[in-house]
Amino acid sequence: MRSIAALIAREIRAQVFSPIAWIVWTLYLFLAGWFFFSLVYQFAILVQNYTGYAEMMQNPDLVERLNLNEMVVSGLFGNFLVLFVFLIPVLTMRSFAEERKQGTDELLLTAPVTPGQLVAGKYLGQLAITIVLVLAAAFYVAILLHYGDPERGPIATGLAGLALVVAALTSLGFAVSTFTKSQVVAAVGSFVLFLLLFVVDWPAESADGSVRAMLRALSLPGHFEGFAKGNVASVDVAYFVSLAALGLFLARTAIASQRWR
Amino acid sequence: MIDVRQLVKRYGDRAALDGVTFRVERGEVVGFLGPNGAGKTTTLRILSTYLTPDGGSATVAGFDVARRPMDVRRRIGYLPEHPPLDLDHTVREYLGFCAALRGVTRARAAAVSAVIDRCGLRSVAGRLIGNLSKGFRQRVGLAQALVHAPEVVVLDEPTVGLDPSQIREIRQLIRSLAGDHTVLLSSHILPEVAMTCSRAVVIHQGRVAADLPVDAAAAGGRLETTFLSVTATERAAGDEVPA
Repeated sequence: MRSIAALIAREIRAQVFSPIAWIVWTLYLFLAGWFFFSLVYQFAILVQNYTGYAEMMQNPDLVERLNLNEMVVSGLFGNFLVLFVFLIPVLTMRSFAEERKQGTDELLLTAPVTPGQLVAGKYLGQLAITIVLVLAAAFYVAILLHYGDPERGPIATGLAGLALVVAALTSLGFAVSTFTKSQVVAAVGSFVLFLLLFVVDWPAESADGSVRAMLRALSLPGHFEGFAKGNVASVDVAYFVSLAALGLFLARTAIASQRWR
Repeated sequence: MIDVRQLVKRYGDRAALDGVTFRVERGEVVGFLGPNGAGKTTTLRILSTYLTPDGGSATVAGFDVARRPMDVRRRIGYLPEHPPLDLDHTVREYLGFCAALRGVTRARAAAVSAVIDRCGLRSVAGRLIGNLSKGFRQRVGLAQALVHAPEVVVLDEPTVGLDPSQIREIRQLIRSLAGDHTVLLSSHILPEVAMTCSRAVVIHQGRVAADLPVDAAAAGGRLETTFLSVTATERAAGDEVPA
């Protein structure tokens, strides 16, 4: 336990004392702020227009049809998801590739910790850095809660869903990083993998039966949709937990097999 | 303390180790000599459990490196060829991490403090390792190998790239380990082994070519003669593997 705690602390330290995490966090806040602004702005214009129509047509119900949750919150969550695809690879790329490059893997792999403990410590340390992206997302949603009146349920599930996405992508990014010495290769590899998870169901429309079901089952945004709408299905939770478990398993295997080369 | 028998390691078709056998007794400081590419680093990596052997066996402090790696790791201190340092940590933080990683729970701060004094790092304890000179970095590397008070210490070319006065300091430090620790250090510098070790194992092309005591007086000359003759004869035999 103590060695895992030491590994977590070291991981966080390495990230916080390197500029990369700060650059990623800052760019993320900037882009997320832009998305937030544009969605809220569009919504405000719509509300203005609909208020005009409602007066003209003497039908006050028209404005009621505009839903803050559907038009802003859910859109915002979708945008965050896209940002994760680009930014999480940059946060996870160094996790093991840099150890290999600096030769510090020789320190870790000759210390009395099992590959499982090593993976646990490094993963939790990484997660502490990437989960900041969800906390920043919560900040924008908090602004909505303060000034508007969105439904709280879908917001809570949406944030929980974002946290699950981050947990899964961090694990996969970490796994990719255990296979290479180069941070760039790790970043590009994870980016391609994440993008694939995003677009894998694109041919689903024209595919038939089982192929279509399979492609849909692999799609990351498809499994997130429910969270953004407030209905959490166990299959969606299972999807993200499985991705995270797969990543950790691959990372552990890569690290454990290094001794046998 | 270290018992290596018929150790074999292959990288693809090339046999890096081809039946290496030697022993190191408790409290000895033994030099592991050989030309570059002879298999020194591979042997030390196997002893440290970083690599597993393809054949033969090796035990450290009575535990087999392949079957009981965790027991070996608790009892060994290892300085790889390139010291595995966290450049963005201070010396004290880094050694604290190394101690925690190796399960030093009680009196960790005291253990770190002691090794800082022993390795002459007091004046730089609060500085970032990335800002230290090569000599200090090498000492930090040595300190991480000693912080958990291991029974066996394995050092891979501990003085490479240092200036003469730094080399002298590191050698003194290594000599001071004799008795408390069992030390195996690799080198291709003959006088170094002559000055710090009580015995030398010469390895060439993946095999032990000589195993001889080093007596301080005649050391330099005899060691050099042996080294050159064993590494020359096998080269003449024609089975030299290109590096």
